[in-house]
This record gives sequence, C-alpha cells and structure tokens, in this order.
Amino acid sequence: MKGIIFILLEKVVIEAHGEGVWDALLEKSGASGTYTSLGSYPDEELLGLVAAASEATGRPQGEILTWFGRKAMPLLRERYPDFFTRHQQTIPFILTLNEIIHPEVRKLYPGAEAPDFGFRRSGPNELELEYRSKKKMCALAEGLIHGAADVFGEKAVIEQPRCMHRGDESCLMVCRFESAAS
Amino acid sequence: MTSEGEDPRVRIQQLEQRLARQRRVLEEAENIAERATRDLYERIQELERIRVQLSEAKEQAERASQAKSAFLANMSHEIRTPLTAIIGLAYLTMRRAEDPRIRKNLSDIHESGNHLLGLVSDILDLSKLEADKIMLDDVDLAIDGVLERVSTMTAARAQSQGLEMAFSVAPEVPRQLRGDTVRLSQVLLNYVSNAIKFTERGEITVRVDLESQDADSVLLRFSVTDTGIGVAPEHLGRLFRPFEQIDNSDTRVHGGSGLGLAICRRLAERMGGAVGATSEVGRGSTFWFTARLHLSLRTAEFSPRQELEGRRVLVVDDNPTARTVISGLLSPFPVTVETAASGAEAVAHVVAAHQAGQPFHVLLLDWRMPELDGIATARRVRELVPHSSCPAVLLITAHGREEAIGAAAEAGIEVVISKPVTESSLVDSLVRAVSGREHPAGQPARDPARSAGVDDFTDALRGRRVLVVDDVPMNLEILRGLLEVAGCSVETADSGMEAVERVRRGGFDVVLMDIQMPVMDGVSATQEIKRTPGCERLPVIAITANVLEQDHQRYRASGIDDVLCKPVEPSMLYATVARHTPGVRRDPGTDPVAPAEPAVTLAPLFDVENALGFLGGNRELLVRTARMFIASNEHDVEPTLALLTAADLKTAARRFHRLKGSSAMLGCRRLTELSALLERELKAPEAKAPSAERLREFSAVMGQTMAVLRKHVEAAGT
Ligand code: HEM
Repeated sequence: MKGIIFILLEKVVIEAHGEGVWDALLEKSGASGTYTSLGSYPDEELLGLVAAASEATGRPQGEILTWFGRKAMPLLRERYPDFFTRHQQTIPFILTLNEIIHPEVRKLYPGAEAPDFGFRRSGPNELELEYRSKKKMCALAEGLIHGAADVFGEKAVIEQPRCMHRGDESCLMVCRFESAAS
Repeated sequence: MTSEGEDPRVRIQQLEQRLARQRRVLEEAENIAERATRDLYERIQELERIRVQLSEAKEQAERASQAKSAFLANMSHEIRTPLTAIIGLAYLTMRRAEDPRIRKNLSDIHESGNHLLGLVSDILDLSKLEADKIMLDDVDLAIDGVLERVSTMTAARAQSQGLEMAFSVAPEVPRQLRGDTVRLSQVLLNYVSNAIKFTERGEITVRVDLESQDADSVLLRFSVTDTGIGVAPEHLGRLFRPFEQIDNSDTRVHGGSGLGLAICRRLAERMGGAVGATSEVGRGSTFWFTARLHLSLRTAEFSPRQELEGRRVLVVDDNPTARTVISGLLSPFPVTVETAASGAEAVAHVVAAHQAGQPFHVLLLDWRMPELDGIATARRVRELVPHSSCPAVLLITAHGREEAIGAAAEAGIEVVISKPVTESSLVDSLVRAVSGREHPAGQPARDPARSAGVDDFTDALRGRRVLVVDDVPMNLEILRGLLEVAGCSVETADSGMEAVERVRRGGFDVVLMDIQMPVMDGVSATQEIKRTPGCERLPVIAITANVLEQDHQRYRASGIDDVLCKPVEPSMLYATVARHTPGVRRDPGTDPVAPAEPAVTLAPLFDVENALGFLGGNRELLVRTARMFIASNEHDVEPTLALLTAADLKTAARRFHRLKGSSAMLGCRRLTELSALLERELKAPEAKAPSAERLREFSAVMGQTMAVLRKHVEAAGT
C-alpha cells in the first residue's frame, strides 16, 4: 500500500481524535509511523492500525475502514481537484475510475495497486460495482463512495449482496444515489 | 489510551517519538527524492537517445525521398525520348493512313501521347525542384523584358479570344534587377496562360508591385487578374499542391497535368517568395506570387527621361482600362499626359492645344475605335493642324500587326505598337517618335535589318521562297522580318511535322530549320524531307543555339546543308541563304562570297546598334562582352596564325568559327565576315593555308577591332 494512504489515515485520525490517539494506535499496532507518500508499505501495517482502532473503539474493522474512506475523499479532492471538477454528480465521477483516476494514480505513484471495477448501470440513479482485489478492501471502497457522494452533495445508499469476506468470488456493491437535500 | 499532556515527562517522550518519526520520514523522503531524480535523469537521457535516433531516421527518410525524386527525374527523362518517337510516328502514320478509323485511332494516340509528354515534363520539373536539383540564375534582368517575353508568348491566344491584355509595373519597382529570367517568366507565363484559358471575355491584367525593399534586394509581387470563371474558395488552397487538384471537378478547370501551379509554388519559394490566389466564382481570379530579386549594381545609362522631358502626350482609346494603363506606364516619366475617349474628342483636343500655343508632341492612338478610328483620326489631325505643330503619331493595335503597319504607312504613321503595351515598348517608341521630330533631317528610324548589310544581298535574295521552321513564334517573326526586308517570300511552320508537309507540297527554294523542336526535331524533319522524292536536293539550313562543332557535323551528316548559330547574325543569314539558292537572278558561275571580295572589308569594324540588337539593348552587357572578347583574344591571334603555318587547318578552322560567333555578337562585322571567309576556305574540300595577303588582312582587321573595342570599353569605364 502506498504511503499516501497511510498519510491520509494519519490526517483523518488526528483531525478527528488528536495526535495522542494516533501515537497510541502506532504504539499498539507496532507500526513504524514513518510514511512518505511515494513510499510503499506492507498492507498488514494498514490493517494492523485498523485492527488497533477497532479494538480501542469496539467497532468492527470494516466500519473503521469505511469511516476512513469517507473522510479521506474530501482530502483527495483537495490534492487532485482535476479529477473532480469536470463532474456534477457521483455516478459519472465513479465511472472515470477505470479509465482515468486509477490509471493516473498508477503513473503518479509507481508501484501503486489501485483496483479496477466492473460497472453496471442498474437504474438512472443506480450503479453496481463489482470489486475483486486480493486486498479485499470493499469496506474502504464503500467509504470512498460515500465520501464521493458527500463531495457532490448527494447521499449514497449501498448494499452488498455479495462479498469476498462471505466467501463470494467478488464483492458486488449496489449503490443508489439521491440528492442530499431530499 | 493516554490523553495528551497529563504528565510532562510522558508528554516529552511522546514529542521525542514524534520528532524521531519525522526525522525518519524526512530521511526516507530524501532517499525517494534522490531515486526519483536519478530516475528522471535516466529518462531524459533515454529521451535524448530516442530524439537522436528519430532525427537520424528523419534524415534517412529525407535522403531516401531525395533519391526517389532524383530517380523520378531520370526516369521522366528516359521516358520522354521513346515517347517523343511514339508521338511523332503516330502523327506521321496518321497523315498517311487511308482508313478514317485508323486515322482516328492514331490521332487519339498522338493526342494522348502529347498529354503524357506534358505530364512527364511537369513531373520532371517538379521532381527536380523537390530534389533541389534546380539552380537558379542570378543575372541581370529587366522586369519589362520578362513581361515582354510573357506577352509575346501569350498575345496571339489572347487576341484570338478577343481578350484585352494589360501589363503594368508600379513606378517604384526598380527596373534593373538580378535574378532568373527564365524561371520568373515560367511562373508568370503559367499564370497568364491559365488566365487566358479560363477567361471567355474581358481582360487580363498583369501587375508588378514592390512589396518590400532592403539594402540589396526587393520583394516583388506579380499578380495576374482575370475576368474569368473563377474558382470556388474551398478549392483555392489546394490548387498549389501537387496532384491534389486531379479530381474531376478540377482537371476540368485546370487541364494539363495539374502540376503547373505546384511547380510555380516551388519556384516562387525557391526565389524566396510565396504564392496565393483570390477568386470570386463567376467574376474572376487573381493569382499572385512574390519573388526576391537582387538589386542590380549597374545604373541605367540610357535615360529616356531626358528625351521625354516636358513632352505633351495625348492618349486616345475608347477603352477606359487601356487609357488608365497607358497613362500609368507613362507616370514615372516627366511628361504631361492627357486622355481622350474617342477620335473626335482627340481631334478637338489637338486643335484646341494648337490654338492655345501648347501643342501635343505625341498622339497615342488606338487603331480600332468606333466611328473615327486611329488612322482616320490621324488624317483629320493632319488636315486641321499645320505641319509644324502636328504631333507624332503612334498607332496602338491589338490586331494583326502586319495589317496595321500597312494601313498606318499609307496614312504616314511611322510607329505601330502592338498590344499588350509594355513600358519598354511604349517608351522606346515614344523616344523614337520625339527624337525623330527634333531632327527632321536626321537619319530615318533605324532598322536593324537595314544596317546589317541587307543591301549587299537584296539582289541575291529577291524572290527566294523560304520556309522558316521554328516552334517559337518570336523566332519565326524575327527570321521572317529579316528575310522579307531582303525581298524573300517567307512562309512559316511551327513544327518539324508541318515543315515536312509543306515541303512535300513544293514551292520552296530553301528551308531554315530550327533543330530543337518538340515532337519532331530539325534533324528528323530534314531526314524526312530528304527522303521525299523531288526534295532530295532542297537545301536545308539548320538554325541552332548549339555551338558544338561535333553536333554540327552530326547535323551535316544527317543531310543538313549548312548550320547557322543563334543568335543569327543577319549578314550571315543572307550570305548563307544566298549561297544555297543560286538562282535565276544571279550569274550562274559567280560564287556569292568570292574570296577577297571587297564587300568584306567594307563592313563596319564595330556596329554598336547591331550588337545591341543581339544583346537586348543592354549597353552594360555589351561592355562586359567586349571586355571578355578582348581578354580571350588578346593572346589568341599569334597562336592561330601559328596553326595556319603549321598547317593544322582543322584546328584553325575551329578557331575562326569561334571568332566568327563571338565577333558577330559584338557587331564586329568586318571581323565576323573575314573569319567566316577564312573558316570556309579552311574547310573547303581541297583547303590549303590562306594566302599571306589574307593573313595580313586578318591581322590588321583583328588589331583594328581590338583597338575599337578597347576604346569603347574605356569610354564606358569613365
Ligand atoms: C469512489 C471512488 C473510488 C473508489 C471506489 C476507490 C477504490 C479504491 C480501493 C478499494 C483501493 C484499495 C486497493 C485495492 O482494493 O486493490 C484504492 C486504492 C487507491 N486509490 Fe482509489 N478509489 C476511488 C477513488 C480514488 C481517487 C479519487 C483517488 C485519487 C486520486 C484514488 C487513489 C487511490 C490510491 C492512491 C490507492 C492506493 C493504491 C496502492 O497503494 O497500491 N482513488 N482505491
């Protein structure tokens, strides 16, 4: 996992709970805590931090990852406004993931393992994402989708009829978007 | 979890840990940055390698493309030779074929062959240009000369379509420049021919304007405007690209290979210029090009300005454009120009001016005008105005020049100018007209043929029937003029093929044959003539720009009886024609140019007018040529004489041949005739070394000629 993700996590945690909490998570998980955006670090280190947070809060790990993803998206927008400004809605934005966003990510961060998704428009405001990655971070994806909806002033309702964590071959996320005002 | 800031020691420990983390981050970031920089550096290196490879590949591709162009150029050349044979033979067979269907087929072959030949020639030109194989001349040129050349070559067609042609040069354009006359004319000719082709009625205007000027060169803009069918704006841009206009709509419009304009573009670019066109469908087009020409270092010596100073000129033409153009041509000169739109108006003007004590000096009259035409107007003026204040009359005609000259002469008008009127023809005629006025007792208007010894030959030539063959109309006219003055009756043919046809019909005493002609050249035509029963003995005299002796021998071997070099020196022409047509009016036994004939010594040593006739009136060129002549002959006389004593007659003959040519160019006619005589004597079947007396004569004439030339050169130098 690229250091940028760890840095985002650090920011999100410190912003929400203060530096002491971040120190404690590091100490507890035994993570090094020295992250540069271009460096690569073991996936386990990220999962260790998530596990530590889960333990400290009593919340499931998935929920922690989702929370992180949701909070991380506005920060991503700050760093990479170009991916966002040409869209007014979440679905068209997400649909550029395979063709634009993640390919660019792979160029910017050599060694990045950003996933490709399978897409299906199941209705005017509905999008199905099929996710298969050995990292099995569907929870992070869900959080990022919520975060994206936040950015575009929408609200996402996501169901996962299939999930690798439940033994399925891939995860299926059925997302419905509505304007946040309604 | 510990909350922040409880115990200062814990707090310090925490801060130290964070600091340590930050240090490690910094270090790692540094390493990453360094790696990234190295990476970047390597990529730049690789890009550089790729760039070098690409530029090498590009160069290679360019070389290949040049090689291709060169190959194409060679091929086109190779193709032309057999193609010419095909065309010629098709034509000949067609003329003989009885069956009309076969005739039709052969005529199609002939026509297609000609089309193909044109295409191949264009490809040759274009590929030479693209392979950078064309070297441009940088020699003295006169813009008026270029326009005149173009007008001579197009006037007939324009006239036959009833088109007016007007040429004008902006007054600020320097007249003496350096550049490539042939290429400049080629582009302009292409534009003008196109304009004529696509204009059914109206006029074609050729303008030369000054775009910009710097210390040693000018950028000139040549534009040709017609009132023709025009070109749709979306097609304009493509016209100048090779092969692109070869689609149905455009070939119909542009005919030919479609390469002409592409060639024009390349040529203009080679001359440091550009091309372009504007057009309005149904109203006409303007095609222009620019070219950079160097300013000539020489200054004009001959100043028509002085001659024309203060003259009053009345321009009479019913066509307003013609009036404007002619007035415009005169605007750089210190003359007063007034205009009249009809003969009657002109008469009124002249009478009024006479009564006011401000008579016109020159009347420029258009011949064909409604009601009172040019000649009638001139007559009326003569009746009404006393002789002393009667203006000189110049008749301008767009129609058959011969006809006009005849009619004008009857009315006592000396000067006839053909349309299109160019500045130089106009100014020359004006100067001649007004200076004639001033010295009524002086010499009559100089006629080059007259001063070229025609009187010596009229007896020998009167009534000779001559066929002149040349594909360049101008050359035909020159020869016709020269021969007619000498009393010959002249017919012309513009191709070898036509010559053969005409000769077969009979009625000629001699044929003057240009060698280089398309389709059937002079040599083949002569062979054809000599094969024709009854024509075996008809003398054929070749006229060629080729000066190589071995080529002349080849011509003679093919049956040609004699060879004249271009530019044809009139006395040589007369002498040669006379020699080959010993006829009724001459004593059968007399050799036309008997040895030691006194006429030889009577020819002038140095005839400036005659020389200027060859050199296009270019006095500077005359001086340079004279200088060259002096330099190359100064040390040549002794060795030549030595050759004669050593009895190397062949080499000596060649020397005299050369001397004959070079002295003729300079109007050193006595030397020319003497050299010709010597050459002939040396080439005679039983030639022996010339007599001592002849050699003394030669040394003397040579010495005198050199002295006269030196004087001329010195006078010009100061
Ligand atoms: C709704 C939109 C997005 C979704 C659902 C999404 C999903 C994911 C997921 C699930 C991963 C984890 C890697 C994996 O599962 O194999 C990931 C990685 C990543 N994504 Fe996205 N992403 C989204 C938008 C973005 C945007 C806008 C950016 C920023 C430009 C971004 C940058 C990254 C980066 C840098 C990684 C880390 C790759 C690595 O370290 O190997 N993603 N994304």
